[in-house]
Amino acid sequence: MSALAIQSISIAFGGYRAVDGLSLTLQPGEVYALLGPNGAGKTTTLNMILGFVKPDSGSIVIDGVDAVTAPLAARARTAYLPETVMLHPSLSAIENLTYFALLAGRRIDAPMARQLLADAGLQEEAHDRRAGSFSKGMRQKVGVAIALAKDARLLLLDEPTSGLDAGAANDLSEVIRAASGRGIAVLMATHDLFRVKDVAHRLGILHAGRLVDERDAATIGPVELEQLYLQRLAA
Amino acid sequence: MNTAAFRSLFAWEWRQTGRSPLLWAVMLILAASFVWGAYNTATLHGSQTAALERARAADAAFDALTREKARAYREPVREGAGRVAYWQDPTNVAGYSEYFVKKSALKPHLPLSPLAAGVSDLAPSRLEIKLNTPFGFVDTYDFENPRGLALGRFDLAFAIVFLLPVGLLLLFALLGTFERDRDMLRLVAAQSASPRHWIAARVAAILAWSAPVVLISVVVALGVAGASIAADAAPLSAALLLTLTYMTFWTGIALVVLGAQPGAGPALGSFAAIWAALTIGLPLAGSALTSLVDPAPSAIRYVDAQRAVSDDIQSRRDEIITDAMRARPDLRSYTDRVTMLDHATRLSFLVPETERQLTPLKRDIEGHRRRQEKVARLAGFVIPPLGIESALATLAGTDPGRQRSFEDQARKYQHHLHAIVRPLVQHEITQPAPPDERATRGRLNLAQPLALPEFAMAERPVAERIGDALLFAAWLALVAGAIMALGLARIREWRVAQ
Amino acid sequence: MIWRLTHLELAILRRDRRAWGALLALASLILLSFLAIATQNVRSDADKQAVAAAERARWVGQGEKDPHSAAHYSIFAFKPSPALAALDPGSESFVGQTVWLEAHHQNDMLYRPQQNASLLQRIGFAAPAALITGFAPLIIFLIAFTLVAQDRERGTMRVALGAAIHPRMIVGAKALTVWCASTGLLLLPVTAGSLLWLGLGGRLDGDTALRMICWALVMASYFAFLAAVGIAVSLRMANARLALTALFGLWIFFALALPRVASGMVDAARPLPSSQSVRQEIAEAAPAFWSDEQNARNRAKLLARYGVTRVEDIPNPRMAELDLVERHSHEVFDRILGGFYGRVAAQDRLFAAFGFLSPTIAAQAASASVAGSDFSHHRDFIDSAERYRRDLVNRMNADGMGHRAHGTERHTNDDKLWSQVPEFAYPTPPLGRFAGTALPAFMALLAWLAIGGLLLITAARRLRP
Repeated sequence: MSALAIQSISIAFGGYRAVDGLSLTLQPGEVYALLGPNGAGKTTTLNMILGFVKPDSGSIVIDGVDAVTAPLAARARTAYLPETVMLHPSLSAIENLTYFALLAGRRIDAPMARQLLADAGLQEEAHDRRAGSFSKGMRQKVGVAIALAKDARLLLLDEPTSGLDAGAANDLSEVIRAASGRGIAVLMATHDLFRVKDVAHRLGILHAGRLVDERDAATIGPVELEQLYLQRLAA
Repeated sequence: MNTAAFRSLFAWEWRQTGRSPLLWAVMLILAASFVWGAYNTATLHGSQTAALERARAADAAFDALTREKARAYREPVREGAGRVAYWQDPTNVAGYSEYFVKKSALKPHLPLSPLAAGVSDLAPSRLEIKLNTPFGFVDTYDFENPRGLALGRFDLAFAIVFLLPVGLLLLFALLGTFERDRDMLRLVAAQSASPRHWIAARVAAILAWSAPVVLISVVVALGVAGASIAADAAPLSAALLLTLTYMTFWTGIALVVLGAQPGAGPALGSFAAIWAALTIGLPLAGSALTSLVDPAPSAIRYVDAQRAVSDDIQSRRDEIITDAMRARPDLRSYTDRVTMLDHATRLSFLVPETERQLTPLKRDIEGHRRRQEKVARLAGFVIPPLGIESALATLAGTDPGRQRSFEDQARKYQHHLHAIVRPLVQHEITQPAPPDERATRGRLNLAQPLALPEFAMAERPVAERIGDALLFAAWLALVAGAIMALGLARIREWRVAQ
Repeated sequence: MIWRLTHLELAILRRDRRAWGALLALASLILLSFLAIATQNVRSDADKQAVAAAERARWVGQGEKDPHSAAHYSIFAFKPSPALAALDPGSESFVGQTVWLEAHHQNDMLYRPQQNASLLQRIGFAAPAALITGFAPLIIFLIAFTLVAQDRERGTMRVALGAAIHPRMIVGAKALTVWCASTGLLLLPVTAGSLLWLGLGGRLDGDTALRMICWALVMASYFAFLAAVGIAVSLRMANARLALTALFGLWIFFALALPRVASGMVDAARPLPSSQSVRQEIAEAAPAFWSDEQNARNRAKLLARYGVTRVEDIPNPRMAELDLVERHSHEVFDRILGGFYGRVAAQDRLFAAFGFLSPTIAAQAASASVAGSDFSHHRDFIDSAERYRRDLVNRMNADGMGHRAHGTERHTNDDKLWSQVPEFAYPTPPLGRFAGTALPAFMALLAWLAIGGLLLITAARRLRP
């Protein structure tokens, strides 16, 4: 069974078609990078997968669950890491993690929470600190832990490396690889061409709501990828 | 999300809400306002109770003086102590009736009166009852600073009706919109909780903290104000139930507004608009509408009518008295004495005629007042702040209904005094005229000042008052339930897409 | 430059549905309330004029009678509503509208408009001034928040500050926008409406126009302070939520809670004696019906005054005694009632001083004083009516004393005497005569205005791109 199967989804806001006939399938453990400039429809695609907006047409199935008709059940199988992870500043990292796990319908104890935070790369001394003092990278790591805690079949990442320093971005790449290794499908929306090349198995270029190209990441080098990207956008 | 998961989420929210300094700041301010409100009203009622006691003492002193005078005027006329005029003579039944029958009808406060000032700052709690005052008593009042009256009293009911929703809404607006304002809502929404469960858990947690604190604060405030809490447990429980229902009503409003998952600004803006509409806008429009549809009869025109009737009666005085006497078998044969009657005896015939002539106008005024009170009662079912204020006043015994009952009883009391004294006064008409030169200082046609009954206000059974309040509480609970259901039903999707 | 900026800010404000809608809603309520009260006042004043004319006709046409009986018959005096009562009825709804000017008694003024008001009428009685002082802060803070805090949150403020030569210009334009919008919608229409209403009703004389200008100035100053605070708080707070919380807190504290709290504190600090005890004190000191024993004391005083030894040597002993008792009662009324009313005025002065704690209190007290609807103005009517009563009763008694009458003899008079008594007319006191009570409020308002200016300047100085 596919971790994610998108069939010809389209959505328009007013007269503007934000996503137009997008089809996409992710197998368990597969990492897919959805590339595209601002306004290409990446976030709208993620919104539809998460059930925040309903597509005008087409279907989205996550781990066998229809995300359009049963968004809550689909969301239970999906983890999401937004571009900027904002946390309750007055709660510690562990408390934040516990809270979001509760929202996901899971109860986790403190040792489990510590393990998840460690897996996400957050230093142990920060586990009990209030999130109000965290850098963006640290918050992102808590966000990863929140995603991992959900034990989802699909991980959605929205511009995951935006604003992160090289070290933090590298840590995140490791986490993505690890998730993939555990059979979790990962869909990342980004315009960071060079980093995704390292972690993604497949790359798709989204332009004006349409998937204009799709490649196996192993078959294309960084320079060709950039040329292809610019070429597709200019078309 | 299943029940167990919701329960876990609620427990988490409850713990986190309890750690919020904002919650405790708001609760502290509300508790302080409750205490001040109850104390403030208790002070007013304390001074009114003291005034009633003084009135009672003054009545007793006046009665004692009357008895003393009656004793003194039994003495024979002597040098320097001649006959006393009839209006100074309590042994003259006519003089006694007009100048020595002066009683107070007193409306004592109920033990739970610090709950609401109601009409106690505006309507008199003491009415002077004299035999010949048309319609029972003069339309007077106890002076309170009019600036304070116009501003409204800071009583416990004000704190509950106006400040409590503001505090609650502030909590709902700030604690319920945090994730939206902090850009966390997408992450929250990406978990598998439905927005309905998430908002419901947050709102329920705020209510779960604030409700007991508010109810305890109300009890403490009443205790500090000296209300007899143990003795009046039943109405107090009803008041607490009303307060709780009122809180659930505003919680329902909060659910409706927060269902749209707004930020703090729009949420507070909406709350302020709803609060202002319910506490000011609707009452203002309702009051303007009722005044337009059913304008109050002019009090100034009533003064005019009183003067015109008084003139008419004075001009036909003897004719009216003659007619009245002719209608009475016992007085029919004494109409030739009409011109010799003293002022007090004449009044015993003229006042009923004054009342008869003014009754249509008086009935208009009373009718308008009762209609307005009925409209206000009904409006309370549409405008909850009005209804809750009215219900709290009913429990406190400061409601217009109890005042009206007090006035009706005062009027009946005057009738009762009429029934005792007037026959004696009018019977004197049939007696032989006194000698021009009498031996005693007093007239002595009244052996002793009468032992007239004192006014004692009959109260509605407590159960009835509680019943009225509970009827409103049941209605409000229904409305609150409907609004909550509506609010919850409207929360279907996360609004995080843009 | 600042006006062009203000113009643009006004355009932003007009396009914010929520803020503009709230302004319009309050403006509509203010106008509705003005119209309701103004119509009611016109009706009530017409009644008062008609019945006052009837009273005069009754007085003059009461026929031949003993002058003292005429003094008892007397007249009812009616208090005209102050010209600005539709803007700020102040105490008007809770003070009597008419008084019977009867011999021996300084009667209470009766028929308070709200005396028998239902709960709906009492809660629903909100005059323009009450709506402005109570709710304009909420709306003004909301507008200020919309123009500043949200700008900061969105980041547009950073861009603007980066582009501006001096941040003071931006702050000034925003404050001016809030003030212009609130004054233009909440104050100008109702002021213009009131001017029109008074002009059409023929009541717009110089003093009324001056009062109107002063009232508008009071409210405009209040708005200026609120605008300054709204802008300064929105600029200084760490984030929009804090700014909103602070502004709401200020509104609750200044406008909702403190005025009533202050009123309660004034009552507690300077309590008034109960009406019952005041009446009792008067009844004991100056009884309207005196006893035989008091009669004897009065007679002794009269003999001494006339320098005679027999009552028969006094031309009209009954009237002389009535006059004696009447004049004694004046001293009692002045002492007891005058003292009581003095305490009411002292309460009002203390309340006005609370204006230093809340600008709303300052605006309320100043507004009622300027509108001529505070208790000091009401007291002036009471005193004026009482002077008239004393003059009337004294004239009647003097006429009686001037004519010999003993025993059951009675001197009578007729319309020749009654018509010598001038008609009762109450001249509205000029602006400023009773401003003393509200003086602390005016001073407080100025202080708040200065504080507002300082807050704004400080906020502008600390503003960095």
